[in-house]
Amino acid sequence: MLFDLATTLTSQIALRSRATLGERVKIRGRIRAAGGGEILIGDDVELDGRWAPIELHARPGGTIVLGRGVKVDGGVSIEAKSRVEVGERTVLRGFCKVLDNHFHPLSGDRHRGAPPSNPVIIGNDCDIGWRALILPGARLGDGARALAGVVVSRKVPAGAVIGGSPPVLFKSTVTG
Amino acid sequence: MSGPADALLSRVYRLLRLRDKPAGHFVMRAIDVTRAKWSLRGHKVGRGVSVQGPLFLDIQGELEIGDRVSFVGNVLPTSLIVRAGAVLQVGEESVFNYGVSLEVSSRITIGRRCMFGSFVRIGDRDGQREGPIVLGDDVWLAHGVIIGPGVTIGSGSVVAAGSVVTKDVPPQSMALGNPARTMSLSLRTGVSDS
Repeated sequence: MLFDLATTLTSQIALRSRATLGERVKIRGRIRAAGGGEILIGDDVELDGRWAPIELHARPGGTIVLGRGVKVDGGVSIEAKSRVEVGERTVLRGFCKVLDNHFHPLSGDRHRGAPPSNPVIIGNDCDIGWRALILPGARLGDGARALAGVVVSRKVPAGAVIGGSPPVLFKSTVTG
Repeated sequence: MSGPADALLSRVYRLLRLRDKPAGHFVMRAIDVTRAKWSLRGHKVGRGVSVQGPLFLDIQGELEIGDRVSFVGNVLPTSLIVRAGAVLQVGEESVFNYGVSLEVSSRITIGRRCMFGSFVRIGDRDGQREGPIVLGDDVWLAHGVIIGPGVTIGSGSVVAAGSVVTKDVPPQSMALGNPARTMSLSLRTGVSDS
């Protein structure tokens, strides 16, 4: 109980010292906000790290933007070296990971130098499933659903349902 | 919290952020190395091994860790489970991100300079099959990779994020997907090559 209180308090302090928060932001449990980058959190965002910690890692020069009403579940990790944008009312479910850089080169000494970043943009009203992986260069259109365990690194049209690894487009609705 | 209290707390917290400062880095490194010596005592551990954050250990068999291996456990702990009579060998300069789970019932051998992303799971027994797992040198397992029993991964290979590997992966190639398919990339890796 006391430990819970302490971790919640340190999470609050860590997030508030690094991030720009909107109004009525709900922060619960453990949040690990790290790095020298910018974290922008919109109004009514809910971060629930009670049963597994949430990681928001913006490296120097990187920006994480969570739009209005975004809901983030436990175990979610967002890492930005350039820009990760999550649209309004999007839900990020347990243990999904969003990255905009692979952090290590494929060949040569893998601990020296990182490949160029490729910003990730997730639209409004999206649903990112349990353990989904959103890799550099992914663009999810408004209302797209990424099913559990999917690995996405490309453009997904609005309203589409995508799942599997390598990913398969299950449904593509034409809107408008 | 709001206003001056919030500002004061932010300032106090920034002062405490040791790891970001050059001098603090050495202090934290010393703490990590000391923590490794304590938590891995009684096993064959090389020099300069560091443990950042908690590490979950259940070692009934044999554990061998090479020089300068590092574990990160600041979000969720890495867990090493070695059953009685089993052997886990980790080569020098391998790096483990947080949440890695290694469970050994017979034998897992990890080469030098391997990289483990977060939430990688390696088990040499899954209820149906059982067999030793061998990872060559310079193997990179990205986030969320699952390696099945009896799999051998060749030196320099990369397993892409979220893949599930059930068959052998040849050296200098890339495996991706569930189940993983292999493609040759003829990667040139290793410190000696660059």
